Amino acid sequence: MKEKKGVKNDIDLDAEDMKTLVRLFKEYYKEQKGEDFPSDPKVQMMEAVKAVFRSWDNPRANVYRRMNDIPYSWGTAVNVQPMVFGNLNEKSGTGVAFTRDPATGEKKLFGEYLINAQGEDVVAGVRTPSPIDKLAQDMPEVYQQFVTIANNLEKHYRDMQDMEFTIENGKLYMLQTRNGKRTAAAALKIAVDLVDEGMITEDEAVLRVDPKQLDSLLHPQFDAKALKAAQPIGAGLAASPGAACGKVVFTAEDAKEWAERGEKVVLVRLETSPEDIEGMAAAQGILTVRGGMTSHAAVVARGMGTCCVSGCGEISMHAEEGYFELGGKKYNQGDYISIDGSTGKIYGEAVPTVEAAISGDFGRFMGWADARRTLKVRTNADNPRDAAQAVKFGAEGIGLCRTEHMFFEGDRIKAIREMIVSETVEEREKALAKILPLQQGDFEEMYRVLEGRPMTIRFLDPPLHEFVPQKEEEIVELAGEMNISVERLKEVIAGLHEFNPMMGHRGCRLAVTYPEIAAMQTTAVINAAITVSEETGTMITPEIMIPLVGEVKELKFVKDVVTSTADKIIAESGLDMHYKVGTMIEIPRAALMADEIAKEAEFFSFGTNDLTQMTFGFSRDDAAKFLGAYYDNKIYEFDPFAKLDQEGVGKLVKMAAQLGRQTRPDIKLGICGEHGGDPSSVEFCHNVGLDYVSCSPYRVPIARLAAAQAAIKEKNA
Amino acid sequence: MNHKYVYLFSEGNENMRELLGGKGANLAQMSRLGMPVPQGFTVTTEACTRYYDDGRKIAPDIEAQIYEYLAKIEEINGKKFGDPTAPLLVSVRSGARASMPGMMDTILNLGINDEVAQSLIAGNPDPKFERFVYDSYRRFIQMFSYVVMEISK
Repeated sequence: MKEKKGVKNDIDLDAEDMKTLVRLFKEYYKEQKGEDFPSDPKVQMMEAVKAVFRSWDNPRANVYRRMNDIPYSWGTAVNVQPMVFGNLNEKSGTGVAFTRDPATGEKKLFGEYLINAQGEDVVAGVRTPSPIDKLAQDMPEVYQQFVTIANNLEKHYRDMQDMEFTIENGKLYMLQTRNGKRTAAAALKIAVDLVDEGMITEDEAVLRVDPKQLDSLLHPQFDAKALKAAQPIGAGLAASPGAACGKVVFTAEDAKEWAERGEKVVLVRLETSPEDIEGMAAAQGILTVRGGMTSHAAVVARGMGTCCVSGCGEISMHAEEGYFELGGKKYNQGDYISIDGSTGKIYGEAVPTVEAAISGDFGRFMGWADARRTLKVRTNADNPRDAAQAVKFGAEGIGLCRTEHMFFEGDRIKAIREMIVSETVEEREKALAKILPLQQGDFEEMYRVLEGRPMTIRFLDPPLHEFVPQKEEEIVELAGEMNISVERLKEVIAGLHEFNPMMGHRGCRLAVTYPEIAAMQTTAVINAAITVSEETGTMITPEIMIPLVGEVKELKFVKDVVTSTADKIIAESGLDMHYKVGTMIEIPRAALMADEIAKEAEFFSFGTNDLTQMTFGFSRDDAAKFLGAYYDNKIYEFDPFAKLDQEGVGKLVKMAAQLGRQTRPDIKLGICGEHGGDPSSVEFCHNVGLDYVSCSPYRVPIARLAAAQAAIKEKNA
Repeated sequence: MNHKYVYLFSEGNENMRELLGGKGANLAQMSRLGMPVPQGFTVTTEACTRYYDDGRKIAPDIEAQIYEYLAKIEEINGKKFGDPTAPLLVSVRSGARASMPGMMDTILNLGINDEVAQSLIAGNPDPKFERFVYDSYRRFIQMFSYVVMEISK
């Protein structure tokens, strides 16, 4: 219709056009439904209530709930409210406002409105609205009244409010208020400011920030040098901060698909709608042609911590032909662009990104959190770089150092392969002797970075086939290097084949068959600890973790190898060094037998990735195939690998923790699966009384905050 | 007495999120604070749960309560549903316990039909008003079709 009349906005259509539209829509309805459009308001009402109830179960709502941990069982209410008309005349309007800036947290009324429009026009971003300050000129009295109400609401709720209002013929109506969604930076600033203003306590402030949101603070910004050199090709609104660089895609489906195959993408849309939510989550950044700071794209992106530039009206979209134009240039699907959600600038090239700088509010806020939590937070790290990063983010040690990751680097893999094809213990020990100094060097570096913080080192865990080549040319090459026949090498590789490697020859089973591997790793750990302890003058207590234990006797067998090796080295050194030997609890049988296992284990670390796989009986790598159908049919509501299944797997954790403590009251209990960085799982760990969680470096701040919130909630309960 | 599934804004407050949803509880609270809020009612989350328990149907007792509260807000606002002289138009919006912006459906201007539109126009000779009425009407048909009958935009 707009196109037919050659006008840009709805407002340029006249009464006759609207009448025509009414007729056309009704005809369309009848054509589609085979019945007249219902004219009885009561019929309309009941259908509308049903529709709202039904929309609780629509696909986008289900995705949103899964992403935000909202239970399906809650249901939605329906609000029926007399209409007030922002589109009545030029003395009417509608808008959205926040009592503080939702992007920065600055204390200042922030919002937008449209004259002669209904609410959906502002949110849908079909017309670009005016800033709220302008209302002071347009309608000074209404503006004053609104400012007073906004202040009162903020005082009442003691939090930043997000309000919807409508002005009908010069009279103000409030249609909604709620605690406003905000960026992580704004959340921190508002929490800290509200404490300084005496509105809330430090405890309340700690509870106010969603731990998952901290992620975005830790996420990339543009490399300053590269940014200086880059020329912006246009600009939109700085709708959600951060920097993004990726290939142009035009649909949410493409964004999802491309991201799944490992591409970084920027989603470019006229405007976004709730159906786009999965694509938006998959994209590095979102760029829209239409819509303001409170448009769908802007609100959703801020919530996700994804960079977004909205309302760049200069873009000429040709999505169906696979390109857009900006600044006189064509950008095709697949071309690199970069967008800056903090300035609104758009770049027609790849601008490299760098990690985020953390503000002063962050330090102060996290200080409050740390003072309240009892759960320790460690990190999973296998190299000095990750360990250093995690320490910077506040990690109190390493909860999981996977030694096999060190085996893949550089020339080491050769020595490992040599060990694998060894036919005798002597040959194997010879190969292991080559690995020893390398592994020892790795551990020394890790201990130096940790500066006295503890480190749990897990002994070799994966099946050996992961270390040998599978392709013909690589096998031939390796055979040459190793001075053995291709046939012999192929025999070895074939011998390593397993029908179910996840449940095959791995973990402590490797150490039971090849005790010399455990002996070498023990030597490397203890030697490294001695070297660094002597360097720094601080005695390290190494923690050695035996993986995949299901029976106390197998743990005892491997532990004996460890202690006999370690005791000898320590005795020779003349140092008073202690060490601990513990195990992963990742096989259901280990959880069931935890009282027995605790006789030998000085600590338990719950490996909840494997424990989840083996308890559910499905593998993490294959679950994606069918979990979708399980969500659709409400069998499972979430991915148990992302969020701990507290009912089932959690029951095993709880039981093993109790059994372990029965046998050994001072046993240390931790968790080192992916769940260690998931806020609801962290809360569970606090509640069952674990000593620490261990997670990837970037999730350390999230776990610290989640642990603090768990402690405060327990105190308040 | 029947279980209560519907609350006037004036019957609720901010602590009733679980029952009234976030939006409903806050509308009730704003009313309580004396702020200018168009006075309506909230159908509870329990009614939603029952809708699903009953096989995606609204039970007769809930339907009766909705009509009962509709009559109450007609009285409060001095307007009537489908009444050509003082027609009541309403918005119908979702509101869960936790905010889920844009995830569920909203319908504005419900209560309008040809008769109501005609009579509204007859009461105001301003040609701009006629445009406004038909603008509201077409928005309603558009949203209703999209949401209620799942016809695409």
